[in-house]
Amino acid sequence: MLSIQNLKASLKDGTSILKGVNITVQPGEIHAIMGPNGSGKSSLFKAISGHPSYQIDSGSVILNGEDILGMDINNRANAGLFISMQYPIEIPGVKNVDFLRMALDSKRAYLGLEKIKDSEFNQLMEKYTSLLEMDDRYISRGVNEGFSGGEKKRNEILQMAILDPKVACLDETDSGLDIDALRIVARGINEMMTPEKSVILVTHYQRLLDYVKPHFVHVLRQGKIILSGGPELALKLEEQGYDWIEEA
Amino acid sequence: MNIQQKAYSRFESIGLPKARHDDWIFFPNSAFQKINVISPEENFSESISKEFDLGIDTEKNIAALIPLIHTRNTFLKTIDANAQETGILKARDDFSHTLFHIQKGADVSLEILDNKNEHDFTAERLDFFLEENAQLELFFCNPPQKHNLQFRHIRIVAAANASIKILGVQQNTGCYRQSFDLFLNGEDSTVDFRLLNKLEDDTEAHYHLIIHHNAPHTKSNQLVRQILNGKSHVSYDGAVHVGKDCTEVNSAQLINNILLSEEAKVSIKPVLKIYHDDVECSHGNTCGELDAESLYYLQSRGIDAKKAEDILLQNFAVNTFSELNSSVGSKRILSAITNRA
Repeated sequence: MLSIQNLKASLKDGTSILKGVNITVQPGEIHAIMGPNGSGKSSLFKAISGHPSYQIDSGSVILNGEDILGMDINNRANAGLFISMQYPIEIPGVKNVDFLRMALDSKRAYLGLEKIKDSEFNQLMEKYTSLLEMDDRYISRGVNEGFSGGEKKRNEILQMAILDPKVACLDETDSGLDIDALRIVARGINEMMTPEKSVILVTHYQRLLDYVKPHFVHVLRQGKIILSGGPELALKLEEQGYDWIEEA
Repeated sequence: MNIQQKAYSRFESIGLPKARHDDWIFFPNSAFQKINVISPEENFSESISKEFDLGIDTEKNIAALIPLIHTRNTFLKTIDANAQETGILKARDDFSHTLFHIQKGADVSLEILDNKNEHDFTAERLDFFLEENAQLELFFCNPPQKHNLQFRHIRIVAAANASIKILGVQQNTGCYRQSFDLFLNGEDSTVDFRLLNKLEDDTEAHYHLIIHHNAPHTKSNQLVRQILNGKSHVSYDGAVHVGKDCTEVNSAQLINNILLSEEAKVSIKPVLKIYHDDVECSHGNTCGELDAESLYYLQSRGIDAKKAEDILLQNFAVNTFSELNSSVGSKRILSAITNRA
Protein backbone atom coordinates (compact mmCIF):
# COMPACT_ATOMS: atom_id res chain seq x y z
CA MET A 1 0.00 0.00 0.00
CA LEU A 2 2.69 2.51 0.99
CA SER A 3 6.26 1.87 0.03
CA ILE A 4 8.97 4.39 0.89
CA GLN A 5 12.21 3.40 -0.76
CA ASN A 6 15.65 4.95 -0.18
CA LEU A 7 14.07 8.33 0.48
CA LYS A 8 16.59 11.12 0.80
CA ALA A 9 15.38 14.64 1.48
CA SER A 10 16.87 17.91 2.57
CA LEU A 11 15.80 21.38 3.59
CA LYS A 12 15.81 24.08 0.93
CA ASP A 13 19.12 25.35 2.31
CA GLY A 14 20.67 22.00 1.49
CA THR A 15 20.75 20.53 5.00
CA SER A 16 20.31 16.80 4.61
CA ILE A 17 17.51 15.44 6.82
CA LEU A 18 16.43 12.07 5.49
CA LYS A 19 19.32 9.86 4.43
CA GLY A 20 17.74 6.86 2.83
CA VAL A 21 14.53 5.81 4.58
CA ASN A 22 12.94 2.47 3.72
CA ILE A 23 9.53 1.47 5.05
CA THR A 24 6.88 -0.72 3.52
CA VAL A 25 3.40 -0.66 5.02
CA GLN A 26 0.86 -3.21 3.93
CA PRO A 27 -2.92 -2.84 4.16
CA GLY A 28 -4.22 -3.48 7.66
CA GLU A 29 -0.87 -2.78 9.31
CA ILE A 30 -0.04 -0.32 12.05
CA HIS A 31 3.55 0.86 12.21
CA ALA A 32 5.11 2.97 14.93
CA ILE A 33 8.17 5.12 14.35
CA MET A 34 10.14 6.12 17.41
CA GLY A 35 13.42 7.91 17.78
CA PRO A 36 15.24 10.70 19.59
CA ASN A 37 14.31 14.33 19.04
CA GLY A 38 15.66 15.67 15.77
CA SER A 39 16.02 12.28 14.15
CA GLY A 40 13.73 13.16 11.21
CA LYS A 41 10.39 11.64 12.21
CA SER A 42 8.25 14.71 11.53
CA SER A 43 10.40 15.54 8.52
CA LEU A 44 9.59 12.14 7.03
CA PHE A 45 5.87 12.92 7.09
CA LYS A 46 6.36 16.45 5.83
CA ALA A 47 8.62 15.32 3.02
CA ILE A 48 6.27 12.64 1.72
CA SER A 49 3.30 15.00 1.89
CA GLY A 50 5.07 17.72 -0.12
CA HIS A 51 5.83 20.36 2.52
CA PRO A 52 7.42 23.30 0.71
CA SER A 53 10.39 23.48 3.10
CA TYR A 54 11.67 20.10 1.92
CA GLN A 55 13.12 18.91 -1.33
CA ILE A 56 13.34 15.29 -2.31
CA ASP A 57 16.87 14.34 -3.35
CA SER A 58 16.18 10.75 -4.36
CA GLY A 59 13.98 7.76 -3.68
CA SER A 60 10.33 6.98 -4.20
CA VAL A 61 7.06 7.00 -2.28
CA ILE A 62 4.55 4.64 -3.83
CA LEU A 63 0.95 4.83 -2.64
CA ASN A 64 -1.27 2.11 -4.08
CA GLY A 65 1.06 1.63 -7.03
CA GLU A 66 1.45 5.33 -7.81
CA ASP A 67 4.54 7.42 -7.11
CA ILE A 68 3.11 10.41 -5.29
CA LEU A 69 6.27 12.50 -5.23
CA GLY A 70 5.36 14.10 -8.54
CA MET A 71 1.90 15.07 -7.33
CA ASP A 72 0.74 18.39 -5.91
CA ILE A 73 0.28 18.44 -2.14
CA ASN A 74 -3.51 18.34 -2.39
CA ASN A 75 -3.53 15.41 -4.77
CA ARG A 76 -1.29 13.37 -2.49
CA ALA A 77 -3.96 13.90 0.15
CA ASN A 78 -6.78 13.15 -2.26
CA ALA A 79 -5.01 9.97 -3.37
CA GLY A 80 -5.30 8.71 0.20
CA LEU A 81 -2.41 10.09 2.28
CA PHE A 82 -3.30 11.85 5.52
CA ILE A 83 -0.81 13.62 7.75
CA SER A 84 -1.88 14.55 11.26
CA MET A 85 0.31 17.47 12.25
CA GLN A 86 2.34 17.67 15.41
CA TYR A 87 1.40 21.36 15.66
CA PRO A 88 -1.89 21.90 13.83
CA ILE A 89 -2.32 25.38 12.37
CA GLU A 90 -5.09 27.73 13.48
CA ILE A 91 -7.10 29.27 10.69
CA PRO A 92 -9.46 31.70 12.40
CA GLY A 93 -12.48 32.73 10.38
CA VAL A 94 -12.74 29.49 8.41
CA LYS A 95 -15.38 27.43 10.17
CA ASN A 96 -14.24 23.95 11.04
CA VAL A 97 -17.35 22.41 9.55
CA ASP A 98 -16.94 24.34 6.29
CA PHE A 99 -13.29 23.37 6.11
CA LEU A 100 -14.09 19.69 6.64
CA ARG A 101 -16.73 19.75 3.96
CA MET A 102 -14.48 21.59 1.52
CA ALA A 103 -11.72 19.05 2.11
CA LEU A 104 -14.08 16.13 1.66
CA ASP A 105 -15.58 17.59 -1.51
CA SER A 106 -12.06 18.14 -2.88
CA LYS A 107 -11.32 14.47 -2.37
CA ARG A 108 -14.62 13.45 -3.93
CA ALA A 109 -13.95 15.67 -6.95
CA TYR A 110 -10.53 14.02 -7.32
CA LEU A 111 -12.22 10.64 -7.26
CA GLY A 112 -14.81 11.76 -9.81
CA LEU A 113 -17.65 11.82 -7.30
CA GLU A 114 -20.31 14.46 -6.78
CA LYS A 115 -20.25 16.77 -3.80
CA ILE A 116 -21.46 15.11 -0.65
CA LYS A 117 -25.14 15.58 0.19
CA ASP A 118 -26.10 17.52 3.29
CA SER A 119 -27.71 14.54 4.96
CA GLU A 120 -24.75 12.27 4.28
CA PHE A 121 -22.26 14.83 5.54
CA ASN A 122 -24.31 15.55 8.64
CA GLN A 123 -24.46 11.84 9.41
CA LEU A 124 -20.70 11.53 9.08
CA MET A 125 -20.15 14.51 11.33
CA GLU A 126 -22.55 13.23 13.93
CA LYS A 127 -20.97 9.80 13.92
CA TYR A 128 -17.41 10.97 14.39
CA THR A 129 -17.96 13.94 16.68
CA SER A 130 -19.90 11.58 18.90
CA LEU A 131 -17.15 8.95 18.74
CA LEU A 132 -14.52 11.54 19.59
CA GLU A 133 -16.74 13.20 22.21
CA MET A 134 -16.51 16.58 20.50
CA ASP A 135 -19.18 19.18 21.18
CA ASP A 136 -20.54 21.93 18.92
CA ARG A 137 -17.72 24.31 19.78
CA TYR A 138 -15.36 22.27 17.64
CA ILE A 139 -17.68 22.50 14.70
CA SER A 140 -18.80 26.09 14.68
CA ARG A 141 -15.49 27.73 15.52
CA GLY A 142 -12.68 28.52 13.14
CA VAL A 143 -10.28 25.71 12.31
CA ASN A 144 -8.40 25.00 15.56
CA GLU A 145 -9.24 28.55 16.66
CA GLY A 146 -8.65 28.87 20.37
CA PHE A 147 -8.37 25.10 20.75
CA SER A 148 -6.05 23.71 23.40
CA GLY A 149 -3.20 21.47 22.26
CA GLY A 150 -5.27 18.38 23.06
CA GLU A 151 -8.34 19.74 21.29
CA LYS A 152 -6.31 20.38 18.18
CA LYS A 153 -5.10 16.78 18.18
CA ARG A 154 -8.64 15.54 18.56
CA ASN A 155 -9.65 17.75 15.65
CA GLU A 156 -6.92 16.18 13.54
CA ILE A 157 -8.43 12.77 14.21
CA LEU A 158 -11.85 14.10 13.26
CA GLN A 159 -10.41 15.28 9.94
CA MET A 160 -8.82 11.89 9.42
CA ALA A 161 -12.08 10.12 10.12
CA ILE A 162 -14.06 12.33 7.74
CA LEU A 163 -11.49 12.12 4.94
CA ASP A 164 -11.14 8.37 5.31
CA PRO A 165 -7.57 8.04 3.97
CA LYS A 166 -5.83 4.86 2.86
CA VAL A 167 -2.75 5.65 4.90
CA ALA A 168 -2.80 7.88 7.97
CA CYS A 169 0.48 9.26 9.29
CA LEU A 170 -0.01 10.56 12.80
CA ASP A 171 2.73 12.78 14.15
CA GLU A 172 2.87 12.72 17.95
CA THR A 173 -0.90 12.63 18.16
CA ASP A 174 -0.58 11.65 21.81
CA SER A 175 1.37 14.71 22.90
CA GLY A 176 -0.71 17.20 24.86
CA LEU A 177 -3.49 14.70 25.53
CA ASP A 178 -4.76 13.94 29.01
CA ILE A 179 -5.57 10.34 29.91
CA ASP A 180 -9.19 10.52 28.83
CA ALA A 181 -8.41 12.36 25.61
CA LEU A 182 -5.72 9.80 24.78
CA ARG A 183 -8.25 7.01 25.14
CA ILE A 184 -10.77 8.87 22.98
CA VAL A 185 -8.25 9.64 20.25
CA ALA A 186 -7.06 6.05 20.26
CA ARG A 187 -10.65 4.97 19.86
CA GLY A 188 -10.88 7.16 16.76
CA ILE A 189 -7.74 5.65 15.27
CA ASN A 190 -8.88 2.10 15.91
CA GLU A 191 -12.28 2.87 14.43
CA MET A 192 -10.63 4.07 11.25
CA MET A 193 -8.55 0.92 10.92
CA THR A 194 -9.90 -1.69 8.53
CA PRO A 195 -8.08 -4.45 6.66
CA GLU A 196 -7.70 -2.06 3.70
CA LYS A 197 -6.11 0.77 5.60
CA SER A 198 -2.85 1.51 7.34
CA VAL A 199 -1.53 3.78 10.05
CA ILE A 200 1.96 5.06 10.77
CA LEU A 201 2.32 6.55 14.22
CA VAL A 202 5.17 8.73 15.35
CA THR A 203 5.40 8.70 19.12
CA HIS A 204 7.85 9.05 21.95
CA TYR A 205 5.91 6.94 24.43
CA GLN A 206 4.48 3.49 24.89
CA ARG A 207 1.24 4.85 26.35
CA LEU A 208 -0.42 5.45 22.94
CA LEU A 209 0.70 1.99 21.84
CA ASP A 210 -1.17 0.49 24.80
CA TYR A 211 -4.34 1.56 23.04
CA VAL A 212 -3.30 1.36 19.38
CA LYS A 213 -1.35 -1.86 18.98
CA PRO A 214 1.38 -1.66 16.34
CA HIS A 215 2.42 -4.59 14.20
CA PHE A 216 5.87 -3.12 13.64
CA VAL A 217 8.05 -0.62 15.47
CA HIS A 218 10.90 1.24 13.77
CA VAL A 219 13.67 3.37 15.21
CA LEU A 220 14.59 6.39 13.12
CA ARG A 221 17.87 8.02 13.95
CA GLN A 222 19.85 10.61 12.01
CA GLY A 223 17.53 10.30 9.05
CA LYS A 224 17.63 6.51 8.71
CA ILE A 225 15.69 3.54 10.02
CA ILE A 226 18.32 1.84 12.13
CA LEU A 227 16.23 -0.87 13.75
CA SER A 228 12.86 -2.52 13.21
CA GLY A 229 10.98 -5.01 15.31
CA GLY A 230 7.64 -6.02 16.77
CA PRO A 231 5.64 -4.29 19.52
CA GLU A 232 8.12 -5.52 22.13
CA LEU A 233 10.69 -3.08 20.72
CA ALA A 234 8.63 -0.12 21.91
CA LEU A 235 8.57 -1.54 25.44
CA LYS A 236 12.33 -2.00 25.41
CA LEU A 237 12.83 1.57 24.14
CA GLU A 238 10.57 2.87 26.87
CA GLU A 239 12.67 1.06 29.47
CA GLN A 240 16.18 1.52 28.11
CA GLY A 241 16.12 4.53 25.78
CA TYR A 242 18.08 4.61 22.54
CA ASP A 243 21.72 4.38 23.61
CA TRP A 244 21.81 0.60 23.67
CA ILE A 245 21.06 0.50 19.94
CA GLU A 246 24.32 2.24 19.18
CA GLU A 247 26.11 -0.07 21.60
CA ALA A 248 24.53 -3.04 19.87
CA MET B 1 -16.38 86.46 0.56
CA ASN B 2 -18.35 83.24 0.09
CA ILE B 3 -17.08 79.76 0.77
CA GLN B 4 -15.99 79.13 -2.79
CA GLN B 5 -13.97 82.32 -2.85
CA LYS B 6 -12.48 81.66 0.58
CA ALA B 7 -11.46 78.17 -0.53
CA TYR B 8 -9.95 79.54 -3.74
CA SER B 9 -8.06 82.21 -1.82
CA ARG B 10 -6.70 79.54 0.54
CA PHE B 11 -5.82 77.29 -2.39
CA GLU B 12 -3.90 80.12 -4.04
CA SER B 13 -1.94 80.77 -0.88
CA ILE B 14 -0.86 77.14 -0.38
CA GLY B 15 -0.63 76.14 -4.07
CA LEU B 16 -0.23 72.66 -5.45
CA PRO B 17 2.04 70.47 -3.32
CA LYS B 18 5.67 70.59 -4.30
CA ALA B 19 7.69 67.43 -4.82
CA ARG B 20 8.54 65.82 -1.49
CA HIS B 21 5.74 67.67 0.33
CA ASP B 22 5.42 65.68 3.55
CA ASP B 23 1.69 64.96 3.14
CA TRP B 24 2.01 63.99 -0.52
CA ILE B 25 5.35 62.26 -0.47
CA PHE B 26 4.00 58.95 -1.79
CA PHE B 27 1.60 60.48 -4.32
CA PRO B 28 2.67 60.46 -8.00
CA ASN B 29 3.52 64.07 -8.84
CA SER B 30 2.65 63.55 -12.48
CA ALA B 31 -1.03 63.31 -11.50
CA PHE B 32 -1.08 66.99 -10.56
CA GLN B 33 -1.01 67.83 -14.27
CA LYS B 34 -4.67 66.78 -14.44
CA ILE B 35 -5.67 69.39 -11.87
CA ASN B 36 -6.96 72.68 -13.20
CA VAL B 37 -8.34 75.03 -10.57
CA ILE B 38 -10.04 78.19 -11.78
CA SER B 39 -11.41 81.16 -9.90
CA PRO B 40 -15.04 80.67 -8.87
CA GLU B 41 -17.77 82.92 -10.21
CA GLU B 42 -18.72 85.62 -7.77
CA ASN B 43 -22.45 85.02 -7.99
CA PHE B 44 -22.37 81.56 -6.42
CA SER B 45 -25.09 81.29 -3.84
CA GLU B 46 -24.06 80.78 -0.23
CA SER B 47 -25.94 77.75 0.99
CA ILE B 48 -24.09 76.96 4.19
CA SER B 49 -24.89 78.65 7.42
CA LYS B 50 -22.00 80.41 9.11
CA GLU B 51 -22.41 78.14 12.14
CA PHE B 52 -20.40 75.41 10.40
CA ASP B 53 -16.69 76.02 10.51
CA LEU B 54 -15.16 74.10 7.61
CA GLY B 55 -11.64 75.00 8.68
CA ILE B 56 -10.85 76.69 5.38
CA ASP B 57 -8.60 79.36 6.85
CA THR B 58 -6.13 76.81 8.20
CA GLU B 59 -6.65 74.05 5.64
CA LYS B 60 -3.42 72.58 4.28
CA ASN B 61 -4.93 69.94 2.05
CA ILE B 62 -5.80 70.98 -1.50
CA ALA B 63 -8.13 67.95 -1.74
CA ALA B 64 -10.29 69.60 0.93
CA LEU B 65 -10.41 72.90 -0.95
CA ILE B 66 -10.91 71.95 -4.60
CA PRO B 67 -14.42 70.48 -4.16
CA LEU B 68 -15.48 73.67 -2.38
CA ILE B 69 -14.11 75.82 -5.19
CA HIS B 70 -15.70 73.90 -8.03
CA THR B 71 -18.94 72.58 -6.61
CA ARG B 72 -22.13 74.08 -8.03
CA ASN B 73 -23.92 73.90 -4.75
CA THR B 74 -23.47 72.35 -1.32
CA PHE B 75 -25.94 69.64 -0.44
CA LEU B 76 -26.92 70.31 3.14
CA LYS B 77 -28.85 67.84 5.25
CA THR B 78 -29.89 68.01 8.87
CA ILE B 79 -30.74 64.86 10.79
CA ASP B 80 -33.06 65.66 13.64
CA ALA B 81 -32.22 64.83 17.23
CA ASN B 82 -32.71 61.14 18.13
CA ALA B 83 -33.69 60.25 14.58
CA GLN B 84 -32.53 57.02 12.98
CA GLU B 85 -31.64 57.21 9.32
CA THR B 86 -29.98 55.11 6.69
CA GLY B 87 -29.19 56.33 3.23
CA ILE B 88 -26.76 56.67 0.37
CA LEU B 89 -24.40 59.42 -0.66
CA LYS B 90 -23.57 59.81 -4.31
CA ALA B 91 -21.84 62.74 -5.91
CA ARG B 92 -23.87 64.08 -8.80
CA ASP B 93 -21.09 66.06 -10.43
CA ASP B 94 -17.36 65.83 -10.91
CA PHE B 95 -16.96 68.19 -7.98
CA SER B 96 -19.29 68.00 -5.04
CA HIS B 97 -19.67 69.06 -1.46
CA THR B 98 -22.06 67.50 1.03
CA LEU B 99 -22.62 68.59 4.60
CA PHE B 100 -24.52 66.66 7.24
CA HIS B 101 -25.58 68.19 10.51
CA ILE B 102 -26.39 65.29 12.81
CA GLN B 103 -28.18 66.47 15.89
CA LYS B 104 -28.10 65.09 19.43
CA GLY B 105 -28.64 61.38 19.80
CA ALA B 106 -29.31 60.74 16.12
CA ASP B 107 -28.13 57.43 14.65
CA VAL B 108 -27.14 57.59 11.00
CA SER B 109 -25.74 55.00 8.60
CA LEU B 110 -24.70 56.15 5.14
CA GLU B 111 -23.25 54.28 2.20
CA ILE B 112 -20.95 56.24 -0.06
CA LEU B 113 -21.46 55.28 -3.68
CA ASP B 114 -18.94 56.08 -6.38
CA ASN B 115 -19.94 58.41 -9.14
CA LYS B 116 -19.21 57.32 -12.69
CA ASN B 117 -15.86 58.79 -13.48
CA GLU B 118 -15.65 59.82 -17.08
CA HIS B 119 -13.41 62.85 -16.68
CA ASP B 120 -9.74 63.30 -15.97
CA PHE B 121 -10.25 64.61 -12.49
CA THR B 122 -13.01 64.45 -9.90
CA ALA B 123 -13.09 65.59 -6.29
CA GLU B 124 -15.64 65.41 -3.55
CA ARG B 125 -15.79 66.58 0.01
CA LEU B 126 -18.05 65.31 2.77
CA ASP B 127 -18.49 67.23 6.02
CA PHE B 128 -20.24 65.88 9.09
CA PHE B 129 -20.97 67.71 12.30
CA LEU B 130 -22.06 65.37 15.10
CA GLU B 131 -23.71 66.75 18.18
CA GLU B 132 -23.62 65.03 21.58
CA ASN B 133 -24.43 61.29 21.60
CA ALA B 134 -24.87 61.19 17.85
CA GLN B 135 -23.69 58.10 15.96
CA LEU B 136 -22.44 58.05 12.41
CA GLU B 137 -21.57 55.02 10.33
CA LEU B 138 -20.05 55.67 6.91
CA PHE B 139 -19.25 52.78 4.64
CA PHE B 140 -18.28 52.05 1.06
CA CYS B 141 -17.80 48.84 -0.91
CA ASN B 142 -18.32 49.82 -4.53
CA PRO B 143 -17.74 47.45 -7.43
CA PRO B 144 -14.31 48.12 -8.97
CA GLN B 145 -14.05 50.97 -11.44
CA LYS B 146 -11.20 53.03 -12.82
CA HIS B 147 -10.46 56.56 -11.65
CA ASN B 148 -8.26 58.76 -13.77
CA LEU B 149 -7.66 60.93 -10.74
CA GLN B 150 -10.03 61.15 -7.81
CA PHE B 151 -9.83 63.01 -4.52
CA ARG B 152 -12.26 62.34 -1.70
CA HIS B 153 -11.98 64.30 1.50
CA ILE B 154 -14.02 63.46 4.58
CA ARG B 155 -14.07 65.79 7.56
CA ILE B 156 -15.96 64.89 10.71
CA VAL B 157 -16.31 66.88 13.90
CA ALA B 158 -17.65 64.95 16.89
CA ALA B 159 -19.05 66.38 20.13
CA ALA B 160 -19.16 64.58 23.49
CA ASN B 161 -20.13 60.90 23.42
CA ALA B 162 -20.50 60.93 19.67
CA SER B 163 -19.25 57.90 17.79
CA ILE B 164 -17.87 57.61 14.29
CA LYS B 165 -17.51 54.37 12.41
CA ILE B 166 -15.92 54.31 8.95
CA LEU B 167 -15.82 51.00 7.10
CA GLY B 168 -14.47 50.65 3.61
CA VAL B 169 -13.57 48.13 0.97
CA GLN B 170 -11.65 49.59 -1.92
CA GLN B 171 -11.01 47.76 -5.16
CA ASN B 172 -10.87 50.62 -7.64
CA THR B 173 -8.09 50.95 -10.16
CA GLY B 174 -6.39 54.06 -11.49
CA CYS B 175 -5.22 56.85 -9.23
CA TYR B 176 -7.02 58.19 -6.19
CA ARG B 177 -6.43 59.76 -2.84
CA GLN B 178 -8.75 59.72 0.12
CA SER B 179 -8.15 61.97 3.07
CA PHE B 180 -9.83 62.01 6.44
CA ASP B 181 -9.77 64.73 9.06
CA LEU B 182 -11.51 63.41 12.15
CA PHE B 183 -11.95 65.69 15.15
CA LEU B 184 -12.85 64.14 18.50
CA ASN B 185 -13.74 67.42 20.16
CA GLY B 186 -16.03 66.16 22.92
CA GLU B 187 -15.23 63.89 25.86
CA ASP B 188 -15.76 60.18 25.29
CA SER B 189 -16.18 60.57 21.56
CA THR B 190 -14.81 57.67 19.52
CA VAL B 191 -13.78 56.68 16.04
CA ASP B 192 -13.41 53.20 14.60
CA PHE B 193 -11.79 53.19 11.16
CA ARG B 194 -11.60 49.92 9.18
CA LEU B 195 -10.33 49.77 5.64
CA LEU B 196 -9.63 46.91 3.28
CA ASN B 197 -7.76 47.58 0.07
CA LYS B 198 -7.70 44.90 -2.63
CA LEU B 199 -5.64 46.41 -5.40
CA GLU B 200 -4.38 45.21 -8.75
CA ASP B 201 -2.78 46.40 -11.98
CA ASP B 202 -0.92 49.70 -11.69
CA THR B 203 -3.35 51.24 -9.23
CA GLU B 204 -2.13 54.17 -7.17
CA ALA B 205 -4.22 54.36 -3.98
CA HIS B 206 -3.29 56.88 -1.33
CA TYR B 207 -4.75 57.52 2.10
CA HIS B 208 -4.11 60.39 4.43
CA LEU B 209 -5.81 60.35 7.79
CA ILE B 210 -5.53 62.54 10.87
CA ILE B 211 -7.40 61.81 14.07
CA HIS B 212 -7.42 64.81 16.37
CA HIS B 213 -7.97 63.82 19.99
CA ASN B 214 -9.02 67.21 21.28
CA ALA B 215 -10.80 66.08 24.45
CA PRO B 216 -10.18 63.70 27.38
CA HIS B 217 -11.33 60.07 27.31
CA THR B 218 -11.51 59.94 23.54
CA LYS B 219 -10.77 56.72 21.75
CA SER B 220 -9.70 55.83 18.24
CA ASN B 221 -8.95 52.62 16.40
CA GLN B 222 -7.53 52.17 12.92
CA LEU B 223 -7.36 48.72 11.35
CA VAL B 224 -6.22 48.70 7.76
CA ARG B 225 -5.61 45.60 5.69
CA GLN B 226 -4.26 45.62 2.19
CA ILE B 227 -3.88 42.92 -0.44
CA LEU B 228 -1.73 44.06 -3.30
CA ASN B 229 -1.18 42.45 -6.65
CA GLY B 230 0.33 43.50 -9.97
CA LYS B 231 2.20 46.80 -9.85
CA SER B 232 -0.21 48.40 -7.43
CA HIS B 233 1.03 50.91 -4.91
CA VAL B 234 -0.80 51.95 -1.77
CA SER B 235 0.25 54.49 0.80
CA TYR B 236 -1.26 54.98 4.23
CA ASP B 237 -0.27 58.11 6.08
CA GLY B 238 -2.10 57.82 9.38
CA ALA B 239 -1.61 60.41 12.10
CA VAL B 240 -2.91 60.63 15.64
CA HIS B 241 -2.73 63.97 17.41
CA VAL B 242 -3.42 64.12 21.14
CA GLY B 243 -3.84 67.64 22.47
CA LYS B 244 -2.81 69.15 25.80
CA ASP B 245 -5.01 68.29 28.81
CA CYS B 246 -6.49 65.34 26.95
CA THR B 247 -6.20 62.71 29.64
CA GLU B 248 -6.86 59.00 29.24
CA VAL B 249 -6.88 58.99 25.49
CA ASN B 250 -6.66 55.59 23.87
CA SER B 251 -5.54 55.14 20.30
CA ALA B 252 -4.50 52.12 18.25
CA GLN B 253 -3.34 51.77 14.68
CA LEU B 254 -2.63 48.45 12.98
CA ILE B 255 -1.84 47.99 9.32
CA ASN B 256 -1.40 44.54 7.79
CA ASN B 257 -0.22 44.10 4.25
CA ILE B 258 -0.03 41.07 1.99
CA LEU B 259 1.98 41.47 -1.17
CA LEU B 260 1.09 38.92 -3.82
CA SER B 261 3.52 40.12 -6.46
CA GLU B 262 7.10 41.28 -6.41
CA GLU B 263 6.23 44.56 -8.08
CA ALA B 264 3.48 45.61 -5.67
CA LYS B 265 4.49 48.32 -3.26
CA VAL B 266 3.22 49.60 0.07
CA SER B 267 4.25 52.77 1.89
CA ILE B 268 3.22 53.30 5.50
CA LYS B 269 3.76 56.41 7.57
CA PRO B 270 2.44 56.29 11.14
CA VAL B 271 2.60 59.64 12.92
CA LEU B 272 1.96 60.20 16.61
CA LYS B 273 1.93 63.74 18.00
CA ILE B 274 1.20 63.50 21.69
CA TYR B 275 1.09 66.48 24.01
CA HIS B 276 -0.07 64.72 27.16
CA ASP B 277 1.44 61.96 29.29
CA ASP B 278 -1.62 60.03 30.37
CA VAL B 279 -2.43 58.36 27.06
CA GLU B 280 -2.22 54.90 25.52
CA CYS B 281 -1.24 54.99 21.88
CA SER B 282 0.02 52.07 19.82
CA HIS B 283 0.84 51.44 16.22
CA GLY B 284 1.96 48.38 14.30
CA ASN B 285 2.56 47.38 10.75
CA THR B 286 3.12 44.00 9.16
CA CYS B 287 4.07 43.19 5.62
CA GLY B 288 4.49 39.79 4.04
CA GLU B 289 3.15 37.00 1.91
CA LEU B 290 0.48 34.45 2.71
CA ASP B 291 1.53 32.16 5.52
CA ALA B 292 3.23 29.15 3.93
CA GLU B 293 2.33 26.82 6.82
CA SER B 294 -1.36 27.68 6.55
CA LEU B 295 -1.28 27.12 2.80
CA TYR B 296 0.42 23.78 3.31
CA TYR B 297 -2.09 22.77 5.97
CA LEU B 298 -5.06 23.46 3.72
CA GLN B 299 -3.47 21.67 0.78
CA SER B 300 -2.56 18.71 2.94
CA ARG B 301 -6.30 18.25 3.40
CA GLY B 302 -6.89 18.01 -0.34
CA ILE B 303 -7.68 21.65 -1.13
CA ASP B 304 -5.87 22.90 -4.24
CA ALA B 305 -3.32 25.69 -4.01
CA LYS B 306 -5.45 28.37 -5.68
CA LYS B 307 -8.45 27.66 -3.48
CA ALA B 308 -6.25 27.53 -0.38
CA GLU B 309 -4.87 30.94 -1.28
CA ASP B 310 -8.37 32.30 -1.85
CA ILE B 311 -9.53 30.96 1.51
CA LEU B 312 -6.68 32.63 3.35
CA LEU B 313 -7.11 35.93 1.50
CA GLN B 314 -10.81 35.99 2.15
CA ASN B 315 -10.17 35.18 5.78
CA PHE B 316 -7.68 38.04 5.97
CA ALA B 317 -10.25 40.34 4.40
CA VAL B 318 -13.21 39.26 6.52
CA ASN B 319 -11.25 39.59 9.75
CA THR B 320 -10.86 43.31 9.09
CA PHE B 321 -14.52 43.67 9.99
CA SER B 322 -15.47 40.53 11.89
CA GLU B 323 -15.17 41.91 15.42
CA LEU B 324 -17.65 44.70 14.77
CA ASN B 325 -21.11 44.72 16.20
CA SER B 326 -23.67 43.97 13.57
CA SER B 327 -24.74 47.08 11.67
CA VAL B 328 -26.07 48.05 8.27
CA GLY B 329 -22.54 48.79 7.11
CA SER B 330 -20.81 45.75 8.55
CA LYS B 331 -23.45 43.41 7.11
CA ARG B 332 -23.25 45.05 3.70
CA ILE B 333 -19.47 44.90 3.66
CA LEU B 334 -19.16 41.32 4.86
CA SER B 335 -21.72 40.27 2.29
CA ALA B 336 -19.83 42.11 -0.47
CA ILE B 337 -16.50 40.52 0.49
CA THR B 338 -18.00 37.05 0.63
CA ASN B 339 -19.91 37.34 -2.62
CA ARG B 340 -17.03 38.78 -4.60
CA ALA B 341 -14.55 36.14 -3.48
